[in-house]
Amino acid sequence: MKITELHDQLGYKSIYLPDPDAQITDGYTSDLLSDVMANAPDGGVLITIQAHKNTIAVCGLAGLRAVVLCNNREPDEGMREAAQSDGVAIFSTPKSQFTVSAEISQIL
Amino acid sequence: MRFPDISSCLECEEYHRGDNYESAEVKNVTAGDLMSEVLVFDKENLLLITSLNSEQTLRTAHVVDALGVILVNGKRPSEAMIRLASEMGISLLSTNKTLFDTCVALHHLITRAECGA
Amino acid sequence: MPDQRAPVSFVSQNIPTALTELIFRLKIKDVMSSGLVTASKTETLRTIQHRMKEASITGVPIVEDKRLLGIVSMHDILTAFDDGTIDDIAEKHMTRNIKVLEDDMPLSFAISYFNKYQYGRFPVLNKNRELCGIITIRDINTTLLREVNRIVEELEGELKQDASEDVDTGVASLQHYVVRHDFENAGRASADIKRILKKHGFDPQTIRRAAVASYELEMNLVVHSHGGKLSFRLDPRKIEIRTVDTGPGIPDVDKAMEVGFSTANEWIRSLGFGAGMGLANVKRVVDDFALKSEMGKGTDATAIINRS
Repeated sequence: MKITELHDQLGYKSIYLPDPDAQITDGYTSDLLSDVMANAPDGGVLITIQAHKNTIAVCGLAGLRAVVLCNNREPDEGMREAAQSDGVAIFSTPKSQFTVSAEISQIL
Repeated sequence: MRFPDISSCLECEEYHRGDNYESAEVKNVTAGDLMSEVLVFDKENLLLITSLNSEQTLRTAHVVDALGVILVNGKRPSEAMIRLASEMGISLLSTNKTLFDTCVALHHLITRAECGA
Repeated sequence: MPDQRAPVSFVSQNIPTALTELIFRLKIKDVMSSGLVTASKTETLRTIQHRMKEASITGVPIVEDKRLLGIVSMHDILTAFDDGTIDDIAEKHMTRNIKVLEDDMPLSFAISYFNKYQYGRFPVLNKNRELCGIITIRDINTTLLREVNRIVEELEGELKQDASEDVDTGVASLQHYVVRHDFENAGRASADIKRILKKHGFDPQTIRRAAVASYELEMNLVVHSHGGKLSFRLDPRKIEIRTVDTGPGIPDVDKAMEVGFSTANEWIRSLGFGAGMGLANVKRVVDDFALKSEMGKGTDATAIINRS
C-alpha cells in the first residue's frame, strides 16, 4: 500500500513524511528494539509506543519505512531529528497497537 | 472470545490453563512490550499479548487481573513464569506468530467470531 | 521459504542482569578498535594480505578520504590465492554493500548484528559517515570481561528481604526492601499487598488501584533508585503505600509526573519498562499522592487510598 494511506484511509496523524510515494509491504508490532532489529521485515511499518531516537536508528537498520506511534505518543526532539536524517516517516494515533495492527493489515 | 478458540486459532503451546479456561470470555486485548503501558489500560476481562518473556509479564498481568497472557515469536516461558501463572490462575500460552500477525488474527476473532490467521 | 525466522534476540533470562545492563549502556565507540589498518583501492590483494598478517587481523577496510568503499576479508584473500588473482588491485575484488554500524549506537545493536549476519566484523561510521573504527566479536569479549570484573568487585552484599506482616483487625503493615535493578524480585511487594487486601475483603476495584500504585512505585525503586524501602500500611481510615530511597533524586518532579516522560535507558526499555507512565499511573489511581525529592539525597513518595 502507499504510505499516504496511513493518513488518508486510516486517519493517523502525519508528523513527518519524507517520501509520499513510498510503499509499505508489511507491518511489525514491537516495543523491544533488539527484536525489531532481528525480525522486522524490510519495507515494513513499525507499530510501537517507543517514541525516541533509537527507534528510528533501528528502523534504518532493519529497512522499515515508517513508524506509527500508538496511544497518542508523540516523538521527542531526538526522534524528529533522527527521522529527518534517516528518512523514516512518523505517524501518530490514539489507537492501540492491537487495533492499529489489524487496521494496517486490512489495507496492505 | 474464549481461550480454546484463541488457542486453536493461533496454534498455541499451552503452558498453563487458568481458572475457567473453557468458559472465560475475553472482552479486551492489549498488545505490546512495555508493561507500564499495560497498567494504564483500565479494562476488565483482559488478554495480554507480548513478546516480553519475563516474570514481570506475569506480575503485570496479575496487577490488572488479566485472564491470560500470550507470548509471541515462539517464546518459551521459564519454569518460574509457569509457576507464577499457576499461582495466579492466569492462562499462559505461546504462539509462533509475530505480534503483528497475532493481533490481526485475534482482532478478526473478537470482532467477527472467526479466526483471522 | 520458511515463514518463521528463529528468534535471535540475545536478551534471554540466562544472561545476568549486570551483563545486559552493560550491553545496553556501552556504546559501540566504547568497544570498537579505532587504530585502523586500512588500504586503498589501488593496492594489491597481496599487499593487503601482508598487512593482515602483520596486524593479525582478518579484514581490511578499503577507504578513500576516510570514506568506506569496501572490505577485503581473509576469505577474499584465500579465494584470490586459489584463482591466481592475488596480484589484482583491491578495487576489483573487494566486497561492496557492506553492513555498517554507527559509533553512537548502543553495543546491543552490534550484538544483534552479529546474531543476525554471519560476518566476523562490522565497520563503524561516525556522524559524518566517515570510517572511524571496526568492531569484532573479540573486541566485545575483551570489553565485557574487563567491565564484568569491575562490577563483581563493586557488587554489594545481598540485602535481606525483610517482609514482615502484622495482621490485626482492620490493620496491617508490610515492609519490603527493594534492591536496585533487581528485576527478578520486582513486583513481590505488590503481590503481597494484593494478597493482604484480598484477605481483608476489599472490593476488586480498590485492590486493583492499590496494586497498580504499589507496583509502579516498587518498579520505580528498582529501575531508577539506588535501592530503598516500600512500606504498606492498612488502618480503618486508609490504605497507605510509601516508598523511600537513598538517591539519586528527581531533578524535576513536575516533569517526572508527565505522561510519556521517562529517563529510562535502552536496557530498561528492553526489559519492558520506561514507558513514562509510572508516576502518572499512581496519581491517577489513588486519592492522594505526595512526591518529595532532593538531588543527592533521595525520593519519598506517599500514595493514599481512602476507605469509604
